[in-house]
Amino acid sequence: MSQFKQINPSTITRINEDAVLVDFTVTSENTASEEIQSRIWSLANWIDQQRSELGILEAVPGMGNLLVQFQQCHRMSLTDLMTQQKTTLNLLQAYWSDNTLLLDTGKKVSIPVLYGGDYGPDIEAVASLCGLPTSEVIARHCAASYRVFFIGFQPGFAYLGGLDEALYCPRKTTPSARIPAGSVAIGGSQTGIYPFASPGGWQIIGRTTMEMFNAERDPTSLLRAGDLVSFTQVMDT
Amino acid sequence: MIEILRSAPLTSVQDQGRSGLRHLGVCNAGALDSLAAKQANLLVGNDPENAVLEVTLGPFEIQFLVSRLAAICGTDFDASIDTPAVRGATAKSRALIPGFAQAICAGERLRLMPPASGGGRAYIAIAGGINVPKVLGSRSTDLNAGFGGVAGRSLQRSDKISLGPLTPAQELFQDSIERDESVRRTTSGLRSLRPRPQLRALEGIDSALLDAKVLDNFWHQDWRVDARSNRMGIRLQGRAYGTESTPSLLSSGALPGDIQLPGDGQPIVLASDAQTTGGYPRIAHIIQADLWQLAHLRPNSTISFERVTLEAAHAANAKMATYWERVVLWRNLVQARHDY
Repeated sequence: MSQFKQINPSTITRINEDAVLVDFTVTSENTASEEIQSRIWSLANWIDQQRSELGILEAVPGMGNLLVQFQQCHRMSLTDLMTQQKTTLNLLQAYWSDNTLLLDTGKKVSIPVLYGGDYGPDIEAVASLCGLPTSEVIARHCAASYRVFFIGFQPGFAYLGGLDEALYCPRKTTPSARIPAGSVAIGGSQTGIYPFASPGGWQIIGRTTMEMFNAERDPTSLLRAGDLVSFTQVMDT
Repeated sequence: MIEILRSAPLTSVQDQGRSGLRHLGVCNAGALDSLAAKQANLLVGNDPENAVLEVTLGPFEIQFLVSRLAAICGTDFDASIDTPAVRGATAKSRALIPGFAQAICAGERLRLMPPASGGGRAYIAIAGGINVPKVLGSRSTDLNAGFGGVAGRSLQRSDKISLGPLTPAQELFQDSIERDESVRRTTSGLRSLRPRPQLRALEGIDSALLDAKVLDNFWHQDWRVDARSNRMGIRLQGRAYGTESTPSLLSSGALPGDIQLPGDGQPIVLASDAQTTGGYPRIAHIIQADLWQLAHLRPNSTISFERVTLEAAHAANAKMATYWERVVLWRNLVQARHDY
């Protein structure tokens, strides 16, 4: 357990009256390990199951960090409020430091992708930036398995870790005004799927017809933090 | 039922928004001026959490297909109630003054005239509330993801929107307005809070990473509100220092009120529809008690930020809570007078 940072004043930074950020990353690495991340999912799920008892509105995992938003208590004195929040954070630390903490391994999800052409207008640019033939870009994108580090930006947008280094590719200098829903893209060292049409600077290499998010479905988001994602190439029929 | 006769982009159904879903990437949505939305609801005898119409650009016009009590709070958009000429009677028009409830009869039209340049928001509450289905616990429109409200989008001409059932007290009032024209206007009103040109903010969580000159520039400048601002964020323009040299940050949860400083140094104040995570350094955080003011910033007006302590922010929140309790108390007293 000692290799992990603890939830204490050295890792807790206040955002505003009702929210703090707990940062578990090791500064020298400037990234989050899958192990730390899986402990964060586990902690976030535990919080989610007892939000009202903990007085927490919600916990939002980020890359190597966790945002904790407390319920508003504007009627309490500030001293009492700070004491109450500290007590809650101590409960989170007790859970975090438990060596038997159950690590969430997530589910496996395979995403069918139509690569290139109108669906992936930037695939040639990616191929030339990476110095690989287009077929190799597709092969390498399909060969890896990706862990969902967290969900953010848009409903159901998964931040995926595990992109083949040969596919690392700079973002576009001028962002596209509108990336269609379902677009599969590469931006820097990350790859992802846009659940909704939006502007964006990532290179679009393909598109999936899978519905990443549906507000009227249960579960709403196809992917959750901790899931293991793979891509398979499908042909347009 | 009401029917939209004229609308403009960014006018939508909103209530107090969604919470607890940011870990799935789902934003709060909800009225940008949540206080004005609650006040407008109270004025017509609704639950403060009911859905209202948030009007941003205009002209905006709706036709009432039933008679209902209505009220407007927030920015004054010169609202009027127009009675069309029917059966020999001449057309008439009367003002709907913000903060005063008034009965609008079936066939009458409510018209708002926001300036073409945009700026400010008005909230229309109607007795019974705007009755669209709840999605993920709220009737608010998520304009980016396209769900909630009316088909997940801005209101459009010809949209017909149903109204919720009336409470017993609202029913009583409804009966009396049908009988007696003199009770159609309420005589006691509620003044909307006036936005200030200075917003109070806490030191940003990433301030330590930023140069002293960047920080000094932020706190001691009048920033111009950019016309590209929307429900996701208020973009500010001014004398800026680039922050490209700032070490890149790993993404973390973002909240409404966060003030981000992208590479070009022009701040963005996150609002109700903001993305749930972000990676730009946060230079400050607007205090909760001042968040409602984001709804009323006009393009090209200027604002500045006053750095306050956590103690001051907490005191301001408590003061706001007291203000709201007084509003509710006032409403209950007015209600009690009408109940006999």
